[in-house]
Amino acid sequence: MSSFWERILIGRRIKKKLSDPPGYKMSKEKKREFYAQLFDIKAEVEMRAIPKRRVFMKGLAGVTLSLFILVLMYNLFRPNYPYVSRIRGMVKVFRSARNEWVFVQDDKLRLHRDDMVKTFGDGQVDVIYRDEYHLRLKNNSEMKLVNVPSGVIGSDIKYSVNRGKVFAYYKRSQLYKRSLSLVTPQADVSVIGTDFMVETSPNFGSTWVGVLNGVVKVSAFDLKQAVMPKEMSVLVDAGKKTRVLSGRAPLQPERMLEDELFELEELYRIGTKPQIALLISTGETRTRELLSIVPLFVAADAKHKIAREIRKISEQFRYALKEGTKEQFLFNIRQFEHIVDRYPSPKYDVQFLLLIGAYYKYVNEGEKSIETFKRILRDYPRSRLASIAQCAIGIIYEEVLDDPAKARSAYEDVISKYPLSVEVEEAKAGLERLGL
Amino acid sequence: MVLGCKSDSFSQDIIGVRILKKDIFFSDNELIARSKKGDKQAFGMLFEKYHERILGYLYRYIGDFQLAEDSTVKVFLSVYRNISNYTEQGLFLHWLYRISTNEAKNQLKANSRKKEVSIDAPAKFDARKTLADIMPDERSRPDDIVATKELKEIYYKIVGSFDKKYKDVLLLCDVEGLSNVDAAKVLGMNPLTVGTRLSRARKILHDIMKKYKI
Repeated sequence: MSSFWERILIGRRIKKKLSDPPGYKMSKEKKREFYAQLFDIKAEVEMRAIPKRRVFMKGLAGVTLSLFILVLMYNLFRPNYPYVSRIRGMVKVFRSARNEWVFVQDDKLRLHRDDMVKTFGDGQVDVIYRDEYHLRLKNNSEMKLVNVPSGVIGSDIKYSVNRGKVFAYYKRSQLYKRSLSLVTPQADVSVIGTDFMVETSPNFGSTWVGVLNGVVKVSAFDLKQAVMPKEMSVLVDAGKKTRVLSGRAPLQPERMLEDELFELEELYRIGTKPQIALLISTGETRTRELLSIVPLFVAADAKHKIAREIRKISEQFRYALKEGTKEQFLFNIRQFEHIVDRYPSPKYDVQFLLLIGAYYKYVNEGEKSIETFKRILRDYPRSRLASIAQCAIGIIYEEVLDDPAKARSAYEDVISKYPLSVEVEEAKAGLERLGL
Repeated sequence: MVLGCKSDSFSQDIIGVRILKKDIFFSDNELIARSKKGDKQAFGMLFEKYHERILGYLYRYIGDFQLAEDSTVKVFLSVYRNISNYTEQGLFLHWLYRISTNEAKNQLKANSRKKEVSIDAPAKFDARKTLADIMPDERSRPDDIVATKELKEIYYKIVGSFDKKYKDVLLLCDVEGLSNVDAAKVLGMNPLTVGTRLSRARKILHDIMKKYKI
């Protein structure tokens, strides 16, 4: 028999012997154990389901966080373009991308880098950028956007004023810490303080700059060398003006005339300024300015009762200053006092009382003037204008009432109570005059 | 079926499964589909249908009934956990055999059984006995071994003492009745290899039977 057939036979024999195996029954305990464990698997599935929900929540939180970060990054780094608004008269914008001039009719037209804005006739337009700055391009003026920063990245905001007049209101952002520059053919005007307002009038080869609030750096711009030498820069304080002639250093700042101040009042109507304000500078001579009667600004759109009454009294004061008698002055002052008593307002009272004290001094009512200033020190000792009142008391004792001892005491109080105020210099000068 | 109840409702569950097994016919694929959705009753029916075959297979493979029972439970629990991976290619029973074979190998490995078996070595199914003890006494006549069942038990014990590479194919092909191709699929090897091993295993078993005249 061959080995092949032998294998076949063996195979059949073995298969026959091994086939039909006997069945085995699983014990009941084991079955119980199996089913019990099967139920535990259900529990495991439920246990697994909780982490799944947790994973889902974690995923959701992750996606939300990612979206938040994306939105934040987008807001931080996207370029925010300024836009034109409040269009009056004929205004054109030069689109640098399309190289064409277009008439502006829609509000909120966005400006891009190298775009130009031009006003014709009595046209006027505002350029607004977030809450950071607000420019008003007056009639027959032209301005170009030189540099616009992207989010937190980017340098200072820069405009080139080719001709005409621009009012600027700027509020330095705590986040971005940027500066606003207005470059004219003669000068570069940039903010270094907090709020500032500036008018540039680059006509007839010169640039005129007047500052109503804050500090502004004015630098001569050398067209040939395209640089701004340090020695050709001046700082212009509030209430002062300067002029830059082509190729020359800026003139030393000097106090603005009353008419110029009134012209700059328009700045109070743009941006977010108070509706009533004493037009006073921030310099060390501000007490003297006050006592020589400074104008009080009342916004034209201020509609509350105080504003209406103040506007009326201001007109009476203006008339009294020109032609009125002392009695008229005193009558107006009493009306002013009546407003302060009737409508107490911490926001405005100090300014009103300062003005009332100055008017009393103007009509040689020294005692009443001092009484008014002392009321400021008593009622508003923490006011940032309290040092003016203290210094004014010294000046009145010295110059009106001729009481050197009390004047000396008042000046010493300025130095001791308000050592960081600008009135310290005035007080020291007063003490020197009194022989100390 | 009340899920999550372990005590009183447990026996009712088993009874419920049995009733269903008797009264209603479900195909394997249908039961598997329901089990994939978490239907314990359906899986219970699969368990009731196949557990005896698997238990027998594991007992013959491992040689210890207690261990075989434990392994059967493990196999079915493992099947339930991984039933979503079952792709319905081939018979469900073949998939069960594959898992059972792996489980049996693991059990043997865990018990540190010897791979090679000599005639004097302790038998795998009972460490206290040698293979010679299992064999019937030469003096006793074949007629003395009356019950075929008992004789078969001896065959299976001899097969159980084989090396696993012969034991696999013998149990699957000659005991469980799988074809060479199906056994190859279960064991994950070439059908020709299965044929060769099967032939050798049969020869070894035949020689043993001849030697001991059984």
